[in-house]
Amino acid sequence: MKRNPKIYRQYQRTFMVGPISLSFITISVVVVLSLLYMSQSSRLLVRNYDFDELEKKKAQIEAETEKFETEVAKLQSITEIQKSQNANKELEKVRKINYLTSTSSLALK
Amino acid sequence: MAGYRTFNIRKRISFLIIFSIFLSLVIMGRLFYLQIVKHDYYTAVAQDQYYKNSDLPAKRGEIYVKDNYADSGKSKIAMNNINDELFADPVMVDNKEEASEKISSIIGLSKEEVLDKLNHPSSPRYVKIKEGLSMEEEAQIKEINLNGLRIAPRPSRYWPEKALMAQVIGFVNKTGTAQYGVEQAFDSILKGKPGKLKAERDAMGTIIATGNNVLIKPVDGDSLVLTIDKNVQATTEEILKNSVEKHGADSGSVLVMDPNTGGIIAMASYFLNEPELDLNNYYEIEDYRFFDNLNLRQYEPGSVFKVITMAAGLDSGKIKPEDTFNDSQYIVVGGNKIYNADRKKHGTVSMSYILEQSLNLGTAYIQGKLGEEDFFNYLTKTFGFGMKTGIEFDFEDGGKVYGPNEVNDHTYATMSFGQSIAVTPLQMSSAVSVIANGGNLVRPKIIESFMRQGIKEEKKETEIIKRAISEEAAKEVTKMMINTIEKGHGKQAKVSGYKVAGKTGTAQVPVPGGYDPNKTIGSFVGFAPATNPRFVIYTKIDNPKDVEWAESSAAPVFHDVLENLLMYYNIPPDDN
Repeated sequence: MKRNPKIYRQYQRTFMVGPISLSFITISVVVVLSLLYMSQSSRLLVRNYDFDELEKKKAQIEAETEKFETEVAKLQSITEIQKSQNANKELEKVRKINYLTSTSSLALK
Repeated sequence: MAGYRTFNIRKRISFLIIFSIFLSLVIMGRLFYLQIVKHDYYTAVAQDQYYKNSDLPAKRGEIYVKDNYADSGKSKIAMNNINDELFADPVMVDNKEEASEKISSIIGLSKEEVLDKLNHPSSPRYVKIKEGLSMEEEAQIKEINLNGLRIAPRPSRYWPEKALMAQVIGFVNKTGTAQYGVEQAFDSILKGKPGKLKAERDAMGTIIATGNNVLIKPVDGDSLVLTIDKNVQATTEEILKNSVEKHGADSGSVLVMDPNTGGIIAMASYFLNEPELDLNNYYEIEDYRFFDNLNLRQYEPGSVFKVITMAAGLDSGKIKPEDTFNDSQYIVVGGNKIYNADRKKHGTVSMSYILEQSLNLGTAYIQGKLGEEDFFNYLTKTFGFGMKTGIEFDFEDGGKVYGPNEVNDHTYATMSFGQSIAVTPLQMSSAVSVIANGGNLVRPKIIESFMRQGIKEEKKETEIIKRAISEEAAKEVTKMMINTIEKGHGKQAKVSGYKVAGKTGTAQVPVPGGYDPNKTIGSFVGFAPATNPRFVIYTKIDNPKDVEWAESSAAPVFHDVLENLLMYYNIPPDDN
């Protein structure tokens, strides 16, 4: 049976690329890949600067923490307490403790 | 003619070709030289530009002391700090007069002083205005925002208690060298190990994280927790200072030790007219003699040593507690007379009475019963005299104990009551701890624990060196020492409500050819509560001017220190 040429056509496709087109495609692929690589590298470098900034901030916070610790230690020192005692007279000298002695198991009033 | 012209053109072309080839060869040769022959050199130069080496300093370990009033039970006595330094670039300062006025009102220097610094800088673009800015000063300086002013952080060491236990702690100078005390003795543990970073950097100096970097991390130093209690130390120093000044003495020392663990609870030294040894201003101290720790220095102890002779005699079995001795005012040993301090004849006396009344003849008798060899062995092998105690400080004196054949019999007899022998207060405390704890020689220590990398606490164990004397001998000597306080020369040391064991000692001061007739050293050693000893206390007052005997100089110091300890640690009375 003969096929109806109107509804069915058999194409033989042959894709032919010339040397110039081939060069163009190759160069385009290389350029695109290069751009991709450069953008990734740049992003990484930007992250590097962010990281560096964070490191500096961390060092700054650590330094401030140390300063605060020093201030706390200074304020809790015996010299400072005595100085504030002289100014405010809030503290009382420790008095001798009176120990109760009893053979009874009941607490004394 | 056409042939000639063709030949001429060929010649020129040939010449050009040859010249080009020659030029190429020169260029290639140069490239070969630079890239191949000099490869290493230029690689190094290039690396030098974009690779930078940095030292990464290690954090110095901190030093803690015990503190019953702190939530954590300890507080810092030496710590790391960031010391902000205010400096100026005089070239950038717009108006020096105005700047000086603003700065001086903040940092507490006079306007003239600041102006002088700005006008006469140490170098053209840098002059230090003030170091050690407080946080408020720093905030105010930043607020005024003057051109040419900068604040730079400088790591430094800070001692929040300033002069407290200065001789024990020592300091670290600006170059990072540790001097004196714990800072020096434990420098290798405290300082840690610095690190290194070799990193690729960009033009601004920022490290390139993806570069070929080499990092050796710094190892921070370990921190130390001392056995010393801050509050006990502070009160002890105050008591000692008051006593030295009251008696016009040359100097004094007090040592408080836990007889069961060997832990030093307080260690105080004071020289008359000693300047305030604020460790934060160590560079202002002119005489570093004041950093000497007198508890580690040897001297002739006098009659406090009699408790050791008594312990040796009882432990050896050569004398018994119930034995008696006939005191006939003096004895002759090696052709020389030995008298009691009071030059009296006491008749027949008990062993306890020998200590109560501090009879030289009694202890000479005990030494005679022991013999020189046994006596020497007790002093050195049993109680550890004549050698360092092994406390973590390396700079303690070892003392001096003469061997049996080194000196004559008379000298050996005087050793029994603490003359002709050199000991340190630390050695004496350690030896008396043997009596207090029931007979064990315990190594004294100043380190309670190590904090590795500042986090993990590693306790330092108590080291019992050996069983020195029997428990019975220790008990008997304790009873005699209690009697000394109750009935003898140590009444001023007694604390009401507590059983206190102790002994006084008033020693002469040796000078070439004999002893100084005008100088004495008053000592007192004791422990309490005697039924369950918690503290051994050794007090020493050097050359008091207004009193002669230790009963009036060293014993009251012992009393005050002990009273404070019993209150601080809430120790109930044991004298029922």
